[in-house]
Amino acid sequence: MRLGLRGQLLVVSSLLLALPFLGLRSAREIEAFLVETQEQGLTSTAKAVATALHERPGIFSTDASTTEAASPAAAELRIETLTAPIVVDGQANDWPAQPGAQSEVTAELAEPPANGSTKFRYRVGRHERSVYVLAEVIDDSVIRHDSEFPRTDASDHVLIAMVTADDEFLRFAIHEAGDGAARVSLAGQDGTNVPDPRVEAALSETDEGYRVEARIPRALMGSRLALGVRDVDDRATRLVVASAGTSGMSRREELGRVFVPSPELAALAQGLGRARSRLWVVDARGRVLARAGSLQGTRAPKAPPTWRQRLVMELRPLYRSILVEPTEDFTDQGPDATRIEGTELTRVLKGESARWRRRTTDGRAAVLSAAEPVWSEGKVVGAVLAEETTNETLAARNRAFERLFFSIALVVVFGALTLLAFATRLSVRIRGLRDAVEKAIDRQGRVKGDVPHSGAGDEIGDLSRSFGSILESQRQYTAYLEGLRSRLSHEIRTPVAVVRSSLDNLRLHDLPAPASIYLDRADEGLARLITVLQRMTEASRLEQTLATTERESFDMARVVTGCVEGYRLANPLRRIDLALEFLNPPMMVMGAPDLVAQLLDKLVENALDFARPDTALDIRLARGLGLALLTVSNDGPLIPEGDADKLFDSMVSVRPADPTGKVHLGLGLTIVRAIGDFHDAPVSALNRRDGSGVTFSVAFPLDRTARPHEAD
Amino acid sequence: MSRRIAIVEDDPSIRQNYRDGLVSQGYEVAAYEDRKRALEAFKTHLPDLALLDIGLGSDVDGGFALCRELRALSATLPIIFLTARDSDFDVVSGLRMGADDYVTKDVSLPHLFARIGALFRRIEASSEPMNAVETLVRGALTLDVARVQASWKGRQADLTLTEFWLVHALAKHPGHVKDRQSLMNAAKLLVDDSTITSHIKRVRRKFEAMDEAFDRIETVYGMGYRWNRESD
Repeated sequence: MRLGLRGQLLVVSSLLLALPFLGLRSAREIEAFLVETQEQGLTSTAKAVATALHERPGIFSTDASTTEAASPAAAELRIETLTAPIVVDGQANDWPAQPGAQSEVTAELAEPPANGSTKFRYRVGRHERSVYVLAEVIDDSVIRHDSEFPRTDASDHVLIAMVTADDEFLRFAIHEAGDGAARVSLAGQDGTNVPDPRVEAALSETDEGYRVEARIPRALMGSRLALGVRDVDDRATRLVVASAGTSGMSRREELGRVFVPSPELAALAQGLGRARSRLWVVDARGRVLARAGSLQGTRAPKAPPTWRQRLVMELRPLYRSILVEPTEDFTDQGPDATRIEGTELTRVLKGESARWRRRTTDGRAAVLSAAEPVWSEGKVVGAVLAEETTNETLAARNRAFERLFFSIALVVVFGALTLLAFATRLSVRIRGLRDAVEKAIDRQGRVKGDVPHSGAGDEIGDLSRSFGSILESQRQYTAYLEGLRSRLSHEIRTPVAVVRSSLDNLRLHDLPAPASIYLDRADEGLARLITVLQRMTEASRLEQTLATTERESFDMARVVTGCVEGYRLANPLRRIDLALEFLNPPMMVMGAPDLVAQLLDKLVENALDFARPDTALDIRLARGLGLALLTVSNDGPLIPEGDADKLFDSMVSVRPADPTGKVHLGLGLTIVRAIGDFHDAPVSALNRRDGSGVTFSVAFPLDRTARPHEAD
Repeated sequence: MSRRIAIVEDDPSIRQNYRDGLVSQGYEVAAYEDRKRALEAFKTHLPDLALLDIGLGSDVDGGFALCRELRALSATLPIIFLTARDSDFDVVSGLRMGADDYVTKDVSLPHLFARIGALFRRIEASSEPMNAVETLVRGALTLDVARVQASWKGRQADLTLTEFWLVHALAKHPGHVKDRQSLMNAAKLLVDDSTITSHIKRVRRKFEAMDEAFDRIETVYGMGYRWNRESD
């Protein structure tokens, strides 16, 4: 395949396409570096928080349970710290609507129900001197307390069981007393109950069942607390069909422990936490003491994009296929998580630092975690866990890559365009030079024009100038040759005239008989010399003739027929075959019939010289494809391989020396071509396919404008 | 009294040879080697015929200039260009200058004598009554061989000697094809084929100038030319 300069340069410039891959590689390296940095930052955060918590046993020992043996997690009741007091009115709207608040745990059924089920959601909060309880009970029929069935378990109720600060085991039952009022009573183990004002409560019916809100004085509270629900559905039998509770409630040992996350810790974590990172403080058993921050970052409102950013965004789908876009749309480990477990954390709680990576629960984002143990008096009392998604890093990496990619794209596009323009300019200049050089020299090797002088200082300029000087030398040389030819003929003609006139004068005198023989020979020699002179100037004279000849439309067949008649007369011993094909309508050609006759003369002359004397000359005129094809063919020696084109060049004769002493200057075929060119007719010489001889052909374009009646 | 011929030729050998040849024919010959001397002599005494070389030494076109100056001195003086140049361009230029004929230097002396004789006959005959014997009539064409003059439909055709002889050779045997070689012989020329072609073209043009419908001289391609008989 032939590839132009432009193609070659484009192929070379495709190396530029390696740039985006380099960019991608560096983006990945940047990412690894950034993630590493982020992890280190996270570790330092965790360390900082852990250091702040060192040797502050107070924080970790507010709850004595930390020192006790672990009890089932479900039995623990977590008390959140509220920022404002709750109005006890049976409405949940003044509970802070934290999405991550420690509410909503479906209580497990203590006794599986025979039919139906009992569920309730609860929250326990603390503010100053009060502990608040919120319980949402799901119940399809609410049975109120009435005096007919005074037993505690004869109607629906919520049960709050506690061990008080005075180590007293108390159970408060909250019934609906009608009209949305709540009846709070101290329930005995035997089903009896007496109203008790220590606990304040409110009750309201909801679509699902009913809601109970209660306030317990903090002074009353001890270290154990449990919530429960008893469901009575039948107004007649008044039997408890289902019951549920946060733990067992019949004995004080069954009650779950109260667990109060440290507000101090929370404040501390809040202060140390970083944007987009989540900080956990857990105690030695993995219970969450405090949590701050969120993995989800808030999206900053975007400034209107600049043109560059818009361009960058246009390219986004391209590199999206290469790099993953981080998403903030993920969910991770429920917000109600109150306990964190895991091998890494276990390791931390044994006193090691740890750092790990994981996917979010739904796998849509990667989370970096770093954990540090908190020491107190030589023991690990807890751990600080810091978490962050890699989103910000990925986004930073993507931004960097986008900018890089954009720049690379610009460089590639502009680089390729510049190279293309450059290559185009180069090839235009080189082609211009080539055309100029080709135009400057005609087929005979004569310098006709000039290569425009180039002022360019580069190699092409040099080349052009050097071509110019070569052409100038060539011009001088050909001018010298041509001048030599015509000067020679002119200069020889004068001495010839001297010889001839001398001979003629000699004849005027009386001479001895043998003298005339020599005079005749001298004349013969002179005649030959003169023929040589004429041949020498024939080509250049033909050019003058061509320049002044007027073109006319003529019938090719008539010229050829006439000429062949002449050749037959002139060469009675030779067989000359003429074949004319497709003569109707006449083959009109625009040109000069005399010149065509001269052309045919030269071809026939050439053919007769070469053909073996006993063979026929074959002249053929045929029509085809808007052409009149004239061929002259003869048996005889073949044209040497590769010489077919040179044959028509000036001064080239491939024939061997002629024993007859005829003059061959190799101009005959040059004249053929000159006349052919005059008629826009390409001339060619071919060996016959069977190798028996040579065929010369000239393809004259037919004159399409000629009308038939102009034929004669 | 013998006729006086002036030869202007820079080459001494040729000058001498022509001079000798012409003297042997009974002409009085004055030979000059350059334009200046020739012109000085012509101003005092005009020759009866001038034989001019075109290139005179370093004066490349001296012959042409001399021809113009000579024509200025005499409108009727016969002038023959004798030159080594044989290009069509030179032939046409020479004839335009007002020369009566144009021969190349390789012409043989007998041919040259014939031309000179014919030119003199032409001049003489113009003042003498027409000799019927030496007249060739072919339809509208009348050739006065003695005076070397041709006329078409009664009007005199302004042909050079060479042209006259070409027409004569063609018209002598109407319908016969004359090839270039025989035309060359008839016109006492030694030139190449294309020069014959241009001579014939000039002849046609001269007749066509008198008669647009002139179509007597027919080209027979590859062979030569033919004088067509009257079609009517």
